[in-house]
Order: sequence, then C-alpha cells, then structure tokens
Amino acid sequence: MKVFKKLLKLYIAFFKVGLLTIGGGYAMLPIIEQELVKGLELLTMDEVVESYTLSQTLPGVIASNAAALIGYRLGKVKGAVVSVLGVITPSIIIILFIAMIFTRIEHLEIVQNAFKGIRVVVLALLFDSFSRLFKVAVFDRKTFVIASVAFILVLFSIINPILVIVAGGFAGVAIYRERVSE
Amino acid sequence: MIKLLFEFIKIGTFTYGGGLAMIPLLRDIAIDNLWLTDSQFANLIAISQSTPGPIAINMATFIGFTEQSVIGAILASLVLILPGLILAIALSKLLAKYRKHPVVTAAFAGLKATVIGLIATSIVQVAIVSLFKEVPKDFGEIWSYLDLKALIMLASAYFIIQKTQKHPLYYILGFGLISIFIW
Repeated sequence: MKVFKKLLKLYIAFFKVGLLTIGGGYAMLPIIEQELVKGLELLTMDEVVESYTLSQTLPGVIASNAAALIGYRLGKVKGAVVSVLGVITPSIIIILFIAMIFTRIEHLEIVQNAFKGIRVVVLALLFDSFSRLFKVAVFDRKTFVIASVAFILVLFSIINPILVIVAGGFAGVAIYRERVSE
Repeated sequence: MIKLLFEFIKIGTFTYGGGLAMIPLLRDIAIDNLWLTDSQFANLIAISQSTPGPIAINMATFIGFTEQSVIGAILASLVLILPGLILAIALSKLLAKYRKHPVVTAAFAGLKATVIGLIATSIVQVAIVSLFKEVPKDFGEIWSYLDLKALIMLASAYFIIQKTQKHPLYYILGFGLISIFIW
C-alpha cells in the first residue's frame, strides 16, 4: 500500500510536468523542481539536472527519458514506468481532442489563412532554437563538416536519416581516435 | 497498424536530440506513407509546439489518431517512448561505469553534430511550404513563387522572438490572428 501511494504520487507529479511544459525541453526543469524537489522533497535539484542531462544522451523523447531516469531513482523499474506514463498522459488527452476538432475544420479558409502565418512563425521559432543548438553541438571544424554532410545527405534524400545518425556516431568515435594519435 | 507502430518504434530508437531531431524522420515516414501532405505536416509542427507536453509525443498522438483513431494515437505514443524507457532503465544500472568513457563521449559529439544537420533539413522543408505560394518545380522559378508577405512576416517574427524570448504560444497565437486579416 505504501509502495502504491508513492507510485501514485510520482504519476501525479509527472502528469503535472507533462501538462505544464509547453514546447518541451528546458521548460520542464522548473516544473520538476516545483513538484519533486520543493513539493514532495524526494530528490535534490542536483539529481534532477544530472538526470536531465543524461536523458539527452538516450534516443527518443527527452522529457520521457528524463522522467524514466528520475522515476528509476525513486522507485526502480516501477517508478520509471509510472513516471513516463504520467508525463505523456496529458499530451495524449489534449492532442486527441485537438486532432478530432482539427481534422474537421482544417479545410475552412479562415483556418488555412491563420496557419499560413503560423507556419511562418514556426519557421522563425525553428531558426531561433537552431541557432542555440548549433552553438552547443558544432564547436569545431570537424563537427561542422559532420553537420554539413548530414544536412546534404538527408536534404537530397541520398541516404536514410537513421543511417546518417548511426554514421555520425561512428564519425565521432573516429575523431576521438584521431585525437589520441595526435 | 503494424506499419504505424513499427515506424514509431524505429523513430524512438534512432533519434537523438528530442522533438526537433525527430521532425525530419517523422516527415519522411508521414509523407512516404501518404499519412499527411507537406502543409498538413507543417500545421502539425505548429500544433505540437503550442500545446502542452513533449513535441514528439504530440506529433505521434496526432499522426496515430489520423491513421488509426484513438487506439492508434495511444499506441503510437507508447511505442515511441518504449525504447528510451528500456534504455533509461539499463543506463541507470550501467551508468556509473561507462558514461565518462572517452569513446562514449566522442560518439555523442558526432551524434549531436549529425542531429544539427538533420534539424537544418527540417528547417528547409518548413521554409519551402511557408514562404512559397506553390512548391517551386525548378530553381529558376523560385522568385516568381516567393510569397513576399510571408517573407516580411518571417523577418519581423524572428526579430520579435529574438528581442522578447517569450513562450512560443504567444507568437503562434499573435501571428496566426494577424494572418487571418492579411491573406
């Protein structure tokens, strides 16, 4: 019963994280802090940041990986599963409603016009986050070459994106080996 | 349905860097399988960024719903996170030993740079559908199809975002409203 209560608390905490984080990414950190560090006092902010960083080294959805790592820390495998389900539940519910409505109103002229502008804004937002990501990941000539090659290969559909990503990992290891021999 | 789930497991296993990094892969499968058109996909990015929760989950739920209704939506999201969940559990166990290993660090440097290239391709795709009246068929036609209103809006939106750095929802609502009147 005690275990069940703890798992329920975890689920609710991560449900709130999923509900209140709009746009993903760093926006979830203050909410995790509010819920798990200040609220339930289950872990320290240091542990949260560590889990968040690690979550980015795993494939898939960062927010759900972060929830899994924190959940595991607090309740082993059950904790990880419960936390991940908590963080995705609000999305699924909200998007289901939107999808049901949107597929009906999509063809209306007013909706189409609004989305012309919205697409432009999304483009501007992508430029904005891209410039930040670029500074973090492209830090020398070699990483610039990797990024450019990946861009060209995927843009012109020369190679499947998944193969390009795998090759990028190997390219990183190759660079490391070069550095050692220098 | 099996095709849908298989595609989302693949995406969950092979994308690093979260929502933005998934966009080119999602686009690939959504267009190739005729689940969505280019402009529907651009709309989906906008919806996913302005609603709560992880962007990738939002997109998976939406695509799953349009293809296989409610069950498709739930299962697409679940299989998307499954590989990460399993690996997160495995990683938690292995971590202390290997995270600082130089080969692992080097592989991640390569992965992150590759992902930047991939994100750039998704920017190009969104630019094509949002800045042109029709998709230009060859290079010479680019100027005649370019939508000047969209270009001016892009410049002003980018400038305002840089200056204010507010939540994406504000910009999406604001410019969505403006464009009802100018198009």
